[in-house]
Amino acid sequence: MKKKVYLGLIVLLLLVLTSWLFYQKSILLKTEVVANDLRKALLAYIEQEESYPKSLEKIKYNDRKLSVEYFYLEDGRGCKFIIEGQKFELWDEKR
Amino acid sequence: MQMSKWKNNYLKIYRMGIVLGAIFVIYYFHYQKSVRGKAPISLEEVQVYLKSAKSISYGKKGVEIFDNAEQLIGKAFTTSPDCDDIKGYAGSTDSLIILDLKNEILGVSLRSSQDTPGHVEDVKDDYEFIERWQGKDFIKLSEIKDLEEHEIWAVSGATRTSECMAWGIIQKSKIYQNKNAALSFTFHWRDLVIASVVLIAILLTFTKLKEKPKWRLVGRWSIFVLIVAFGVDLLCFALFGGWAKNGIPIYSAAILAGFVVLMFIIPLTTRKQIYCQQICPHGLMQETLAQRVPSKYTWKISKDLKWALKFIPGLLIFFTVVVLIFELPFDLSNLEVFSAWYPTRASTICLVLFVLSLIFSAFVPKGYCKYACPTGRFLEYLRDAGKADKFSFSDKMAGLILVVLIAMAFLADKVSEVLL
Repeated sequence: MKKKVYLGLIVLLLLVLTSWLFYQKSILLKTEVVANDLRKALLAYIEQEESYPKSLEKIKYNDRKLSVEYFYLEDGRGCKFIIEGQKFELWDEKR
Repeated sequence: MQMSKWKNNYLKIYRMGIVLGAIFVIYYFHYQKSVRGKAPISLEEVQVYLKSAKSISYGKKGVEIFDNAEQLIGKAFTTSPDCDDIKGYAGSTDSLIILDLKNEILGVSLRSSQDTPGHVEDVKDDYEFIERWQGKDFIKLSEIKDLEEHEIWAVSGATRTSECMAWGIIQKSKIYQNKNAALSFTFHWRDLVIASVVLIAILLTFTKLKEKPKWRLVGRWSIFVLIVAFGVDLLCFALFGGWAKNGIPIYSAAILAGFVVLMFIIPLTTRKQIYCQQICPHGLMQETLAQRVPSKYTWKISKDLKWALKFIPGLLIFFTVVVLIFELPFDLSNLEVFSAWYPTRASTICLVLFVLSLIFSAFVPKGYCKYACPTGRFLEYLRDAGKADKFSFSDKMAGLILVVLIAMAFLADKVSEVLL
């Protein structure tokens, strides 16, 4: 009986790790989709308004309940957003 | 006698079948994903340029196009994901390239882009830009260094998007040529070290040296020094997984590939587990530490706990399979301690595991080998145990892992959809 408890604990630990990895994978997949969605929405806004939005309030996109931070440069040179710790820049840094 | 020999051979075939089957499933699964990309080419897209196209087939070098009579009539490529590092106004662009059998471009089109929708439409609508590619030699595109010199003018108002598309097509031409280039074997001075390690291990296993403890010790420590000093790659699931996923680098790492294959073949055919017994530096370190600790300090593990701990390596093998198929964000080198033998390459997790495993093994002789090493268990599974060998619990579990692996490969896309 005792040995099954030990084995159960080992399997449980591995299941917890695997579940956490699936959760991380889910965030990665969602981040990619949200980044694409937000990029498109921002580009459409910039094309129409010819300026960067100061916040994401007016931008319609599906954030899938991920944490999204938005930054823009006051001099109008570019903007970037960070989704779940992953940084996305609308402009290539090299340019 | 004859009967048991046959039984033994069937067992070997079964075990090799399981291992090769698992490698094939993992390799084929990732191969299909890499050649198709995120947005596979459809027959309808191809038919725009090749009306006689009736079927397409995915290969490593692109999509092959066939007519009604199953004759090859052309090829198709996308620039994504290979050329995604080329950015336009705000992101990458995926283009379709259709070639005839002489590698002449029949047509190109913009499939999708991360650029501004208005710019993307401008490029799609600019027939002059799109049609300028027709008739060009796809192979010669790789020589282009200046677009205008080759009469490829960017689309006015969508310069960066159109230039991104153009450079993507040019980059694809270079990649296509590299894939078609004849590969040749390359050797490195480290290959000599691998060969020396294998030679010493074979001498220690199959000659009279095995009966001379002093020489055995000298041989094993020589192997240890060679491995640690020259950073020889150790067998581990990060290596097996990478090769199963991406293929064995036969040309660039022929000696290493030979070394790995030999380490599988020897236990399967000779009953000798040469890698764990002679080569693995972690095994030798554990033995040495255990010898230094007086036996009165040796930890006594209860029978029940021993029984449960012995499942860990097998469970870790199954975990590896799950990580590989679902592409979970986990570095497989953190599953084992072997990367820590080259501390500059190892992660903190691996270094911590390394130290813990040595502490554990100092008090439980070869504790890591017995209760935690998936590589050792894998090699032991393949080892021919002679007449006593029979279809065991491990064989049932290995078969089950293969079946589950196949099921997971079929379900992987569905799982990704659920995770989204």
